[in-house]
Amino acid sequence: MQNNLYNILVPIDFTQKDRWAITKAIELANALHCNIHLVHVVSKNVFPLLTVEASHFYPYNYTADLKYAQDRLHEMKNQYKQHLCGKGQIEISVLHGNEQEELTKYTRLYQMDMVIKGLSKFNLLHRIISTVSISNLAKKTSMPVLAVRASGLVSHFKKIVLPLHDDNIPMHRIKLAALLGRYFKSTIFVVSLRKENNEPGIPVLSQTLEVIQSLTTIPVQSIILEGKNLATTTLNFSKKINADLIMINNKHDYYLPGIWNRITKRLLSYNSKIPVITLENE
Amino acid sequence: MLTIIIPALNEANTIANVVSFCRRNKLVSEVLVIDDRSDDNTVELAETAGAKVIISAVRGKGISMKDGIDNASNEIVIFLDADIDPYPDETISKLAEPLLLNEADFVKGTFARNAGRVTELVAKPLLNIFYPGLADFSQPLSGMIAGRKSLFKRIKFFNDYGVDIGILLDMYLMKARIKEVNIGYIENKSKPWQALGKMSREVSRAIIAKAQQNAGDEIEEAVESIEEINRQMHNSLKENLGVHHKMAIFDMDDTILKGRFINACAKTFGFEAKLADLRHEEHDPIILSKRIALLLKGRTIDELLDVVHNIQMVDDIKPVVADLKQKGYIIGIISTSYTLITNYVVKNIGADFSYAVQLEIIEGKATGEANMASYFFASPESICGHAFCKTNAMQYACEKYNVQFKNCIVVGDSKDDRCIVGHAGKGFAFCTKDELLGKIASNEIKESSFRALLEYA
Repeated sequence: MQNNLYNILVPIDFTQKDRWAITKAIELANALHCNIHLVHVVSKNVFPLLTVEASHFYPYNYTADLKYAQDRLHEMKNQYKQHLCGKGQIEISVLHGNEQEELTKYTRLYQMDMVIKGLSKFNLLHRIISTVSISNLAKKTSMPVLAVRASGLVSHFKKIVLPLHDDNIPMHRIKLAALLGRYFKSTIFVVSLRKENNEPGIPVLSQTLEVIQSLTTIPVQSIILEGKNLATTTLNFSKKINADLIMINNKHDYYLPGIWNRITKRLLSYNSKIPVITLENE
Repeated sequence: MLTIIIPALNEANTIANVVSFCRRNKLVSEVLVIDDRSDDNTVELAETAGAKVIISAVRGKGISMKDGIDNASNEIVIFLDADIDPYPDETISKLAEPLLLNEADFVKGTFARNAGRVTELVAKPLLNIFYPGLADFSQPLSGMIAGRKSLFKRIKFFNDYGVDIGILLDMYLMKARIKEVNIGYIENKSKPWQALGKMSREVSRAIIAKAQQNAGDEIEEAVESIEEINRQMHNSLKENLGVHHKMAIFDMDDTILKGRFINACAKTFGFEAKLADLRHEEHDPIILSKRIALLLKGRTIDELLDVVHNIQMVDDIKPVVADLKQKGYIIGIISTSYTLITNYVVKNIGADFSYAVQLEIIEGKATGEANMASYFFASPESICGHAFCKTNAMQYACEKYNVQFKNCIVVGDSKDDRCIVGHAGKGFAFCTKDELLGKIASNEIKESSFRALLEYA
């Protein structure tokens, strides 16, 4: 089990969303003494919806874009490094090529432990256009992807909600929750939907509780929720208890209700003001 | 005329050629081989080649050099290493020329070679801080030197790896005119890594000792800067080199041993019922351990070791431990049994360490007291936070051996091992009856064999 986070990747696209992601990354870096990597990928697509690079079809000189991005990243580094108070540092990199592929390569090459991505409030179009959706990022990088929105910023992860979607104990999420919980002195809320047949007890809930208690001493509570859709029920519960973090898997159980949401793999992250960590594997 | 001084210790392979090389130079009137009591026939070969051999009274390069100076009959002396063959043809004349032309009082020979690790990492940084005037010397540790006997006589030689840098510093402090000359390419064997630590220590000690003898106002600032550099470098090395260290930790009872030691004791000494009652009544692991230890009161070491001797071990534990060690793993046992027993198992399987509860033994008998070692208790940095836990002991071991958690393999079998198995980089549930341990572990071994570990190691 990993006992710390060492490197956090923040993909930068020079929009307002970067600020939210960097602010959250700085909070984590100050608590965990890890490094923040601000990475911008210079790419020019032929069409907004297609990830086919323009340079394949016509000459495109990206040197100027690289220089511009480098300068902007330097400015950002200078602006944010004064907010760092731990041992961590801010590294900057400008890459060129397909955004998703380059970010995936970077996470492997430099051993990233987490990716933090800012989400816009009106994000539907952005998510479709962007090649870097939360779902894809989690899948390709196999890293925990933390999605934050402007209004979701908080200073600590005091209450962590960990929903269960099947009969398996979510070991990866438990370990990450235990790691964060240890630093932020959090309480973990393990939640599950009441089954349709109204069974009195849910074994996986109590087992998950026992596993968390075996691995850590941070407080943990288990709660059975009434509802049909795990994503919306978890969101409503998290709002009620004023949670600071939700941890989910990249599974259809966490897609928001509705056919369109299922087709577009719209995870609950997109509807949550509370930061959401998405993990690919259980 | 010149005197060549060659300190030698067991250099039978090269000494004759080195002496002959010296004698071929017309400027050389005397070749002294200072033998450090060689075990081979260095002395005979040197004499046959035409050298005057002096047997050094005390071993050590510094003493040998001093003996050479005392016996040299010429004012200009040149020191050459006995293990270099061949030397470039011009070596002696290049070293002697600045002295003969009265352009220098001390000459240091340099030669083309890979950068010495101790030179670059230890000597040069320290010289930069304490003696900036010597910072430009490319090979301050070179042993090929030439100088005037009268100056050498005023020097107190270090008798270890610090000798060459010590001479350079003394010459510098005596304000001798120092020159560095390149003598060409020399095939020089790198020192084995085991010798580098000793060399680093002795070279740094020589530089710092000389600096302290001649301390000025600037020494305090220099010391502070060195300490800060050393701290940061130590931290950085610890963080980064830890990536390369690996550890495998085994539970003992029902894992390495095919049974539990205390159960076997209960059966042998007839306290099975008492043990069962204790386990039923007492749920605090520390108190339970102390109460169980009371059941062993009065038992001799021999009796206890006899019990463990009769418990079978998993058949392939020894070859698997040997293979893991071959792959660079540090092997340990972390158990809530007793150190007396875990140490016995450590020796039997060839492991490196064991952490367990200490059963108090006085005059060969157990007193019934059990002392809980501090490494089991939570510290403020404890990763799991449990007050008494094997994970705390693993954390202690990881810090001691500079191993990262992710490079730890842990094998356990019971509920007690859930935490340590869960926190390990690779946790293995071994023939477990605990369903949750199986789910926490990254892998489950269902047969009584550790061979599967090697696939992941």
